[in-house]
Amino acid sequence: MRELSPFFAKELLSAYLEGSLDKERQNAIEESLAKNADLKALFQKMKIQKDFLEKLSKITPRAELLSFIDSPVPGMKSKLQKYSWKKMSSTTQWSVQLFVIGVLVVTTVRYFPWLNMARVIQRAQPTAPLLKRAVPIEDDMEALKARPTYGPEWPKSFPSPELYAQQLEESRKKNQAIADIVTRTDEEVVQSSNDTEESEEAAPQRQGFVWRGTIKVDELDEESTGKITEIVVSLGGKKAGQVELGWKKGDSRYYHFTMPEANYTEFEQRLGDIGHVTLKKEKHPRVMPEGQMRVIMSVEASK
Amino acid sequence: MAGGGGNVAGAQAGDSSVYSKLALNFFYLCFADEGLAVHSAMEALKTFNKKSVSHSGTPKDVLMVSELLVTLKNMRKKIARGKLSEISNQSSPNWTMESPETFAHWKTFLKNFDSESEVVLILRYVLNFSIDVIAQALKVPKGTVYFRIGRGLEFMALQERSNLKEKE
Repeated sequence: MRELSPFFAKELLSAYLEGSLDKERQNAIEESLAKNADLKALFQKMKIQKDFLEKLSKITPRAELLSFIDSPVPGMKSKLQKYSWKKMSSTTQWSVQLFVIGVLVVTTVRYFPWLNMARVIQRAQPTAPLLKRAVPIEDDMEALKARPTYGPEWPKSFPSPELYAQQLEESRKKNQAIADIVTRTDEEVVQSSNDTEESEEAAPQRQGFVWRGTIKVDELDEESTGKITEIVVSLGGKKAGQVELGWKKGDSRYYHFTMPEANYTEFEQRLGDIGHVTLKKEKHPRVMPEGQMRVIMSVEASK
Repeated sequence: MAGGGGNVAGAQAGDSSVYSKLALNFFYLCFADEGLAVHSAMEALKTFNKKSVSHSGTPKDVLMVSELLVTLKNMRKKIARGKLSEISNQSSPNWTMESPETFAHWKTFLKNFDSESEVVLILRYVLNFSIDVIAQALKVPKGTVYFRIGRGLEFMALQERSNLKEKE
């Protein structure tokens, strides 16, 4: 056989070490080893490392560890098998089911967003909550109250069953009628509740006004304010708002009152005797009842 | 079954404790960590036991080596992601060895070893699997196995020399 190159001989060293080369190649390697000192040194070192590895194979896990590894693993599967649903007694199964249902019910009642849901429904059907509000539930509740059995001991204060049925039917008709009437939206209800007094007397689409202004007097004292208050009262003026007529507001006096519109000319004339009057009619969202006017004015010293 | 001598001497086909011992030793030598070795061996044996039923046509040794290699690959990935840090245990009270120095020496090789050569050397010389079995399990020609053995032994020899130089 042709002589092996050092590279090829090196590549075959591991197979030679294993003893897996054919006779011809084995001879060729042995020839190379005899001729090449470096190759021989490498081979010797590789042999030493092989012996080292074989020595390492004496390492052994302890018997306890081996028996632990070989024993069935007490994992989740075995635990699940031990505590499986089928192996539970029927009492335990019922208890668990009841407990789960109880928890679900409590959780749903407590945490489900009922209010938000009701709001969503309300937005979708604006008349639905109004129906609830308009129909007096108490009426129905009264009808549902327990009553004694009809017989000789039937109390006189209670109507007989026939009369009671008739009353109940009337009550139902009445409630139905109220429910039918209610068709307004939420906004209409709120508006109507705010402006109940005005809406009863004022005609729709009317414009509201307010008279604003000042009276300049020479000297702002009790005498002048007393006179102005007297004029207002004598011409049918009534205080509006929270404060009294002639309320002291800094260096001025504040008047907010309603008065019959017919007396306005006389009111202006009489105030003109006391001081210089400046009153302007301004538009205002509040509509006053027919024939009434609202005045907001301040009395100030002219100097 | 793996060749005679060393770890698997006297083992009978179907002897599960022999495979347990092989798996434990394999992973202990790969990781030099008891916690990782036990965890990995359990994983490998679990799959091996399942596959030994479903893959009855495949030789058990080949199946075992394949599972060892697959598990090793998975474990290395997990280690790289830091998922197994809590089970790591460097101490080795569950292993007995004739000379602890030999194992300490092995650890120095492990630091710089090429993983392909390292695995082949363990399988061949420590666990005594035949070249045929290793080649089948790795799905490579026998020549590749010889090449990896040669490269591994050469590396160890060079490493040994550099260690000696460092000591000097």
